[in-house]
Amino acid sequence: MLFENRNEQALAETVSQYGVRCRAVARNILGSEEDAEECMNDALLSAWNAIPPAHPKHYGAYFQTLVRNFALKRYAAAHAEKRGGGQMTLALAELSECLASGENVERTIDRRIMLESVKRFLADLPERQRNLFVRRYWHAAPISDIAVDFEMSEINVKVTLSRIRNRLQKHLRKEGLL
Amino acid sequence: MNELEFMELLSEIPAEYVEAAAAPQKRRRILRKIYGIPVAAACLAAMIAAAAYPRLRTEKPEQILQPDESSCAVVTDDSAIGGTTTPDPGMTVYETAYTTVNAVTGRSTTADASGYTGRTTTVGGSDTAANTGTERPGLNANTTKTTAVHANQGQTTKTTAGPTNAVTTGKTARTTGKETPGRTTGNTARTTSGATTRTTARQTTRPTADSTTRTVTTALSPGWSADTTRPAVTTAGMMNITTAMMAATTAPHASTTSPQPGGTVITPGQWGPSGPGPMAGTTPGASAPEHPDIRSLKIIQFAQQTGDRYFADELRWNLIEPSVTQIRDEFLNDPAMAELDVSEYSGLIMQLTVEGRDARVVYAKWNDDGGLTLKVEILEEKGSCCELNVMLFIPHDVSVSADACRVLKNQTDDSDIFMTDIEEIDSNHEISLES
Repeated sequence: MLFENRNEQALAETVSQYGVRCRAVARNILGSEEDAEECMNDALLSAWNAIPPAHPKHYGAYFQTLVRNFALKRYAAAHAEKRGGGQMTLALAELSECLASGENVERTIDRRIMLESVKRFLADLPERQRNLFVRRYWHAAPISDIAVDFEMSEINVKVTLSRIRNRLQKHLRKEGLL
Repeated sequence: MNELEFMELLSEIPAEYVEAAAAPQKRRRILRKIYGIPVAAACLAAMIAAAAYPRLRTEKPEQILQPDESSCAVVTDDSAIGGTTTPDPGMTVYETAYTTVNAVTGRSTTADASGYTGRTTTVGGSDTAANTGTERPGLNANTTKTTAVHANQGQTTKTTAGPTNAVTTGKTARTTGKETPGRTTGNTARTTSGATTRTTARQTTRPTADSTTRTVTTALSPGWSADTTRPAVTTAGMMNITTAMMAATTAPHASTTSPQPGGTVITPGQWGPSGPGPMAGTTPGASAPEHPDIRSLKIIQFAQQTGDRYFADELRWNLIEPSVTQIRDEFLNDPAMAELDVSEYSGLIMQLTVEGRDARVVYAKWNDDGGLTLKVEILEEKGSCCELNVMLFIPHDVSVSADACRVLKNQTDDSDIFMTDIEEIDSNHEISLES
């Protein structure tokens, strides 16, 4: 509501309520507290610009998704640089923020199909396994933290995740996506 | 699509999944605390029960129900094989008399002597050897005694020890812990396994000279006649299930019954003409039975009931040796028995007593493989113990190994079998109802 009223207090409230989780996601991806903080600031700016007209139902998940996307972009850029991408890679990354996606239509369609397939896969998973999967591959939480939160042993977490991945692979093959 | 692209793809999954994955453990911890309350209560109740149960189990009940004599060893019409309950009009009844002489008289009589003179058991103030004397003609030396007990009722079924070298069951001593007032104390049937058997009856406390006579009457089938020459009884034995005994007999055939190698074998012809032991019911004034082709084999089955108050159990004795099949065939081919329905003669060939409880045989039948199946109903308090005695009368010319008789199956899960005790006894025995 504060965002829609263009009240700057909305930023402080967001940080207060979701800051910890959002920083944890970015930190898990990037491994750096400073980079996580920058991702948080980028996400807040993005949300300020997007709301309105956007009306997210789940503010927490919405901000975490923003932070995660920024973190993944930073991660991709950093690894491209390490692979010898040089300034060109960084430049492309900078341009990607203002340019339209370089993906073609076919790839976008494939991505949509893949997304729907993954959604169906997650919907079919038992809730506990789905939470485990999302916690690991969405929040990028460490195995040890997952084991503590789910009250499982680390070995059990690894085995369960392995089985979920195998199940996902079979699911994607069955739907012709692999 | 590489791994990173897949990670980016996951950003578009439903927000509910993200929220749920963020804190799934929080709800579980709350639930666990809630569930912990009844769990803790259940643990506390279990601890209290565990502490109180042993004491309750060993506590003597305030009131012991006297078993209805009519309910013991009665075959009813609800038998699966169409049983019968009422005695045949042609049946005869017999009476056994048991006389005890107190310690003041100091008289002592050997087993055989008492056997011939008829049912007079004398116990002295000191140990009296009961294994002297001559053998009774027609009575094999390899057989002996047994005791069936209604300890809680003050009833004792006594049978006489044979002359010598008789018992091979390995029993050494059994004493009751539940003697009734006025009963002689220290009655001990001592039987040692091995070559010699010494049976002593000792009476230490007895008031002035008195003699008690109890009569036991058994309904018998046609063809059974009174026994006027059967030997008498000298052994006073009482059995009781004590905690130690039960603990020692958790394994079948353990402890008190240790058949000699090859089992306790009764050779053909070792039994003379004699009648079977007493059956259910007590009616004075009748004569003792006699059947020339019958001897008795007693199987004592200890069981504990843990189920409901009304307890129906099916006990099956695995009588699989050919000789047992022969027994069955002989019964079926016996002219005297031929006219009897299985359910009828099953009521004749077995005696069922349960310590301090009501019980009855619903039906008994021979199986095709030679096994004997008994369906027994026991009216029993929940969780209490009982002693189930089943007596079979078997033709004398058939050899039976005690090892052939064992519990094959106890079809009620909530009943634990503690011990199976097999004793071979003289068919001429008496029931003593001591006051």
